[in-house]
Amino acid sequence: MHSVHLQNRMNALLRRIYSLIKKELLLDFKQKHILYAVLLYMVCNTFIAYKAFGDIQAVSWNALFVIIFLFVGLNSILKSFSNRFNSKHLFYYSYYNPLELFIAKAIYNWILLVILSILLMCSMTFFTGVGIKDFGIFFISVLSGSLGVSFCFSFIALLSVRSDNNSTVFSILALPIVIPILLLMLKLNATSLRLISDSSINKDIILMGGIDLLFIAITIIMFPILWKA
Amino acid sequence: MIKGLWWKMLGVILFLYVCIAGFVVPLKPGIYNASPTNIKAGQTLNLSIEGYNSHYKSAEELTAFLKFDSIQILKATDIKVNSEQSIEATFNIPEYINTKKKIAEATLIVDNATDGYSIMPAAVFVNSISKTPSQVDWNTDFVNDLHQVDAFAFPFRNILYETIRNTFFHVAIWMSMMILFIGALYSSIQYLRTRDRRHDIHSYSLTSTGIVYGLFGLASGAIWAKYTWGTFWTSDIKLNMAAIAMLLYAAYWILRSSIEDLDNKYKLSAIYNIFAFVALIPLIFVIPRLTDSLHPGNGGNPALGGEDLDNTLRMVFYPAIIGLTLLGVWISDLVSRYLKLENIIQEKENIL
Repeated sequence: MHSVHLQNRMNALLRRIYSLIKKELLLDFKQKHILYAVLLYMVCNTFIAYKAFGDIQAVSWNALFVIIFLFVGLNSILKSFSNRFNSKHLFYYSYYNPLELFIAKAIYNWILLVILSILLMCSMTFFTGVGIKDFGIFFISVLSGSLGVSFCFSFIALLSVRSDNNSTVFSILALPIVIPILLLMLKLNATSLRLISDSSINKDIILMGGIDLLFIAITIIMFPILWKA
Repeated sequence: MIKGLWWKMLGVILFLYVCIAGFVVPLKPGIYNASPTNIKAGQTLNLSIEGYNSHYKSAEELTAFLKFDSIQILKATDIKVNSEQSIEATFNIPEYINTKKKIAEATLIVDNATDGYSIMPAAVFVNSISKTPSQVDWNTDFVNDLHQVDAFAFPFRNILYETIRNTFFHVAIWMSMMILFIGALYSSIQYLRTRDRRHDIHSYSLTSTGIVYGLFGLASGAIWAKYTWGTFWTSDIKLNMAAIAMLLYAAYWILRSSIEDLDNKYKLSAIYNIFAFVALIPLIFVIPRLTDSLHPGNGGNPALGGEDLDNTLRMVFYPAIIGLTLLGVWISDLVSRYLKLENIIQEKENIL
């Protein structure tokens, strides 16, 4: 009896979050220039790196991928929080449950980051000719890495929007926190590029999942406190 | 934070005790060097052994052994004593040694009545071992002959040598840093629950002291690394994770100084403090355990585990943690009193 009730509530919650994610997507498609700006930023970065390095080998491919991924993530997530925070946010946050809205935003950012990193991989492979060999591990790395990065950045973005001068504080606070995720991503990507062969790669994937869960849990726990400010 | 004077005195006394005992107590006698390290089977090995803190000349019953495994133990046929720190031992290496590998590895054991026995692992490698088994008269029950000498001295470990004393400073300061950060975490949670300004001051001062402790921890580690590894900094995982941890907390300082509105500042810095502590856990406790590291405590390198932290080290190491923590709490107490006074002065100026 109780479990059925709980299941219904969970279903309702998931439906609400799903509709909020759809709303985020629609809003972004109304303001296409934001998405295009992020894409242009990513392609420009790739091109600059390609021209600066000349001949890119797999090791530098891996490093550049993670660095460009990091900055694309920083840009897109900060934009998604600062742009709509002034005019419409009061309406949204009073109409919807703030925590649900935040989770929806973080999940939307996660999906966006995954798509962006796949596009980044394609554009880098197009320019440099270095290709991923093990797509399974690469997708796991991108999916799990983007999940942790998007929740962590979303939380820090909210925190920095609350403080006075947001973009500086945001990058200062966000960069050190995601370093463990980026290091694990480097390692997983190196395996998917066949730079290293690691038999204990499962341990790294589990660790990545653990760090993701830790970040998701702490953001969800801390969100109401941050929100009440 | 804690009432009374006793804990400050205790902290100072413990730290003085750690400084004195940590530097004055000698190391146990050990084997510093043995050469040559490679020999062919069936030859006579003249092994020149350099001792450390040893009394080879004045000691009685001086013997030396090469131990291949628990039953294949070779006794030195002759020992020539050059000085207190130097001897030359002669071994007749047999043609046949029962081993699965191509090269047999032997542990060197030197024993005498004054110093007790001292061990050097992987001292001699024997190659070109004959494949046909033959009878060798091994010296099997030598363990009963060894001298057990109990002295108040720190253990002698190869590679570490005298730098083992850094345990009392480097390791203890990291431990007390963690305790201070846990205290800061507690104060942050208390601030968010009660919105009492005092908790914010405590949290800020504990975190600041913790960061300073962390910097001292990095510095003492770097100096230690210069003498054992040859460089101040390596790409070792533990070092880099510790550096990232410091960056995380440095961001806390920047966040605090960047916000003008006071209520917002206390609240956001408390939230970030909790967040940073949670992010610290995988950095310090999880990731370094998954990767190979040169740092003591990883991959068979000597450190705190099991035999390495013997009772003599414990007698200085635990007081070092307690003493440094108490000193840290005292420092942060002073910082928070200063901040409270500054607050009062500011409020008075605002009124005027």
